[in-house]
Amino acid sequence: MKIAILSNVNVDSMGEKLNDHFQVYTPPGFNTWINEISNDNSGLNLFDPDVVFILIDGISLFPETRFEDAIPIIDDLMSFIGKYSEKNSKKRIIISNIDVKDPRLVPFKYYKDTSRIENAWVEKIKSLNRENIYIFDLQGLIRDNGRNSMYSDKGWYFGGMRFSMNGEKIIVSEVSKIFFAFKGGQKKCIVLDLDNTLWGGIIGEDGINGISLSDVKEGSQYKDFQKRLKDLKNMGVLLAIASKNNFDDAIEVIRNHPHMVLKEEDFVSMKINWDPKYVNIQKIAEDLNIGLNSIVFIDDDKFERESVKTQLPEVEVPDFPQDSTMLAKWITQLQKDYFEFIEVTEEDLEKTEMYKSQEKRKTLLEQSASFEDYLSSLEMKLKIWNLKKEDLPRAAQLTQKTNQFNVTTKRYTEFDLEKMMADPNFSVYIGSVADKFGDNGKVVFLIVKKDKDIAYIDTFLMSCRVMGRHIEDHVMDFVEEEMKKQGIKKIRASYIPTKKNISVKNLWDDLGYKRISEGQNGEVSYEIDLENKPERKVYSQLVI
Amino acid sequence: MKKEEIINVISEVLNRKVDENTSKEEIQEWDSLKHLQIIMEIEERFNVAISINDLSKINSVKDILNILKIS
Repeated sequence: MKIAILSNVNVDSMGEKLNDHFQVYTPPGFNTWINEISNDNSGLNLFDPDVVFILIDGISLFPETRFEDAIPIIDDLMSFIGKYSEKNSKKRIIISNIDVKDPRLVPFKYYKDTSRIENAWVEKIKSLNRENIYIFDLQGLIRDNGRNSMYSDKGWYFGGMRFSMNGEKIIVSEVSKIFFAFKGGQKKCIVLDLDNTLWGGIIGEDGINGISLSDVKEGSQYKDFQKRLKDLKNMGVLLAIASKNNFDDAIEVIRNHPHMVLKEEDFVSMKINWDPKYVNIQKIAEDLNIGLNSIVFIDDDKFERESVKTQLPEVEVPDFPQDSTMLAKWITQLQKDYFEFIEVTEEDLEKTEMYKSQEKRKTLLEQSASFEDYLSSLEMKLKIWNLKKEDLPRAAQLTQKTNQFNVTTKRYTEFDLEKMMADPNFSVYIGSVADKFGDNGKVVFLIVKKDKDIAYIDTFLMSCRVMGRHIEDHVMDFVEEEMKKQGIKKIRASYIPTKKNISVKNLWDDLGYKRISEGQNGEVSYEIDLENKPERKVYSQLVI
Repeated sequence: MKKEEIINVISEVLNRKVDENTSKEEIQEWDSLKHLQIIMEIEERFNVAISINDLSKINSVKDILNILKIS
């Protein structure tokens, strides 16, 4: 990922700090950022970054400035940023809010109100109303850590560096988490212990009235902690339990304790038994069909943590704070480390429900006489439609995140997809799958590129939630019929191997496509004649 | 605050290995901005103050150690 850092102060050493993980560009010279974004031949435009991070020092931008005088400056700068963001709609632009400090010496009575300028800055960014502009909360970092620690007069007067070395580290650590979030790679699931983790005390010894969980004092540490976990759940993180307890003791608290924020329905899976925790974590991963490397395990007991670390090295096991007053800060950091999300889609909100119905399907499968019986009894409904504007975030997310059932693994942004939507040579389809246990949401995505009477499958992917149910047969049947209607005679498709998409290696063979060529890197091209396409057995019902 | 810790900080900022006998002029990376960063980093990390007047007097690792009164 290519990242440019622009600023009105010297940020060279911040660029160096980010160099280890990203390709970084910092412009030469001092305070040249406006020139960089407005000049077509600037170093910035030649560098062609994916993300532009504009870090603005409010103190030097508005020295001794009255609110009335600041407004035209803000308008002016924002018009440059607005233009740049329109011209570069595929780039992500992160711009900081600002911390303004009026250094003038005044009598006590004259209160210096700098917050109006700070607010006007943010309001103006918002009023640009650009989807590719994000706001970086620099002010929040300065408030949390204090100006005395974030700024350095020595650095400023002798090097044009506003931030202290410590301040730079804090900013770099914060912003690089956002860069990583753009790349994807967040964890999916938190497996939680109960005693001394979700509440204080041990249920088996203290009983439901003895544990610490309340609105005030000690017990509120745990209640607050649960609230933050609930926030994560609402961002699409799955919560599960692995606790060594008598099931009845623990479930009584979860169901009946008046201060439990997390309810039974908030957990995608509850393993409350006396099995080793790594066994339960493994089961959770299998039940949900997620990788062990997408799990974070939270437990106050060092012994349990060490055991999981040893048995399941892929699972992320952060240290748990020994001092329970640290919980609030700790969970904030946990989010930054593992669950920094840029935005949340509708599907993310429904995730817990969807994974829970996944478990019900598993049970049905175990009880079914045959796999075919199981598929028929699911009463699946497949709905496919031409991509609409409101589907763009989810569609882009699917191309970014889907690794297993993805024949070409091409990653697209919303802007890419929007362009294809408008191009008559492309047909872009998105589909949802529902069954008697619930709606899986939008989980099927296809891009077809048409050239005269031949159509090329540029992208065909499905979320792993609906894999292995012969939905792909039905989807391709639908697409083939659609193409026929549009006068297409042949469809060409390909499989490009990656480390993760082995499960679709023979997809096109299985669908009756013929191999026409094989590339050196393992890429295989296929073709089908739409006049001779095979009959396929489908188990779902098509809803248009 | 030990000698090794100071030398490590200097190495870190310059992004190359230095030792007690390294001087400013033999290292290309050790420009005026890096010079300032070294001083800031030491100040912040070890909670000491190095006067700006001493900045121009520092020409080597040894000078830094002397100012900090580390032998």
